[in-house]
Amino acid sequence: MIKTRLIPTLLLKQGRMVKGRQFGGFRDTGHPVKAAQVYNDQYVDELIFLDIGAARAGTATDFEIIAKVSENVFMPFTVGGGIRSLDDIARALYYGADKVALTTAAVETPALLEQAAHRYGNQCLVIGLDISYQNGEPRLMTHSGSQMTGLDPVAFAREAVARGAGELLVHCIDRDGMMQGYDIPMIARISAAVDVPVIALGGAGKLDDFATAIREGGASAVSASSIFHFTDQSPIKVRNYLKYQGFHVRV
Amino acid sequence: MIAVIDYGAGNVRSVLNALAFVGAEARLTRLPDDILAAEGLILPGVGSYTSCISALRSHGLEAPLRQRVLENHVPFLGICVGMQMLSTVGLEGGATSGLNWIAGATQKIIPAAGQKLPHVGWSPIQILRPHPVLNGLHGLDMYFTHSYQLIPDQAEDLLATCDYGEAITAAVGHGCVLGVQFHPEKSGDQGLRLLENFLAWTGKP
Repeated sequence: MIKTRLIPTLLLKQGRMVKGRQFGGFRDTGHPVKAAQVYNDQYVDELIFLDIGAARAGTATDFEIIAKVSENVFMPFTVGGGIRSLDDIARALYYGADKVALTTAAVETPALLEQAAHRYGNQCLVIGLDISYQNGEPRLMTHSGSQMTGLDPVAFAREAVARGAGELLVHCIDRDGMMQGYDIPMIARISAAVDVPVIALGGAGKLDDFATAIREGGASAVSASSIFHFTDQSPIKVRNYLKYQGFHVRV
Repeated sequence: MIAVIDYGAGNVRSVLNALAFVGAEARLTRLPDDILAAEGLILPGVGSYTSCISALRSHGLEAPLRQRVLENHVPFLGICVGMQMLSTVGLEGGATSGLNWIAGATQKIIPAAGQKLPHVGWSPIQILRPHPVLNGLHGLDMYFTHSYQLIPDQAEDLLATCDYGEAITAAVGHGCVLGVQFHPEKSGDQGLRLLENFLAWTGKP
């Protein structure tokens, strides 16, 4: 049976790896190529690279890092942050990405999803939903959390899948970097609303958080960043814990 | 020289990197002369059956491939849609004729209730019939990402399956033709092992 995936996320800014809280206050966390190799040695299932520098500034995504990583790391990569056109997608795939994550573009140019799905297949299209709560109401955000849309995330999730999303990356901004657990209710609502796999991201702080995201959130994959940078938890410990809890994971 | 067919369909860089990593002399090419001289052929493929087979044909690659593989019996490995195209017909949005090197149809996976599509992630493969390229890989996890599967007409052409509620096709083969649904270039050490097995394969099943 297919196994639940553990996917570390690496945020990139000008060639370095960074991590912040609630999409702000970023600290340098090292060299992405070296980090990818360490994750590879720990047999993680996939990697997600998000170029937040490009996402915010509207500059070109840094694909050089992906090219370097794909030389001797043989697992799937998703690349996002600043991908806005079919040309950007083509370049990402050319440099070694298997999937692209579109967040702002999915909101601003939804037709791009259909074009990309048609040309490359929906399995290469991950749609990122960055979610923040305003007066208790969930809202979809763009431009790396700096601009608010009036869109409801669950309705948008359905629409994105209808347009060609193969997977959804559900990223809760308010929980990002806080290590207080994932946004389980939102992950559960979106997982129930769509037939494509949902990847949970934002908030993992202890081993049991991953279990909850799968068991109660219905996530097909769990992603995290801060817990691996700032604590002594590792993907190996996470997977062993999940296996011990009865989940189907690679060990 | 292993020829990796370049017809604009997807991520060939990873295939080339993986082949380089295991020490293969590989060339990305769309030249019929290279195909006719190759000692092994790899056909990657990502996207839709229809657009891939159409691109393969519009580049004039079907004839040299057929000659090198079906007449000269040079080992051939199709990956993902590169495997699905081996079928007689593809049923993605209408019926499209495939290469017909392995009798059968490529059709959408019917998921069980609550099961997601595409089928994405690592899943262990069950080898039904021994094959030199699949040697040592029974029960090992390989990386899948697809919504369609090739269902061969002949039972003996179905070499491996994986479980997704019911058994779905993981590998097919006939003579010197082998196709895998999963991505060996994305399946870590065991994927590299499959590529090494392919490099050592003479083409006899």
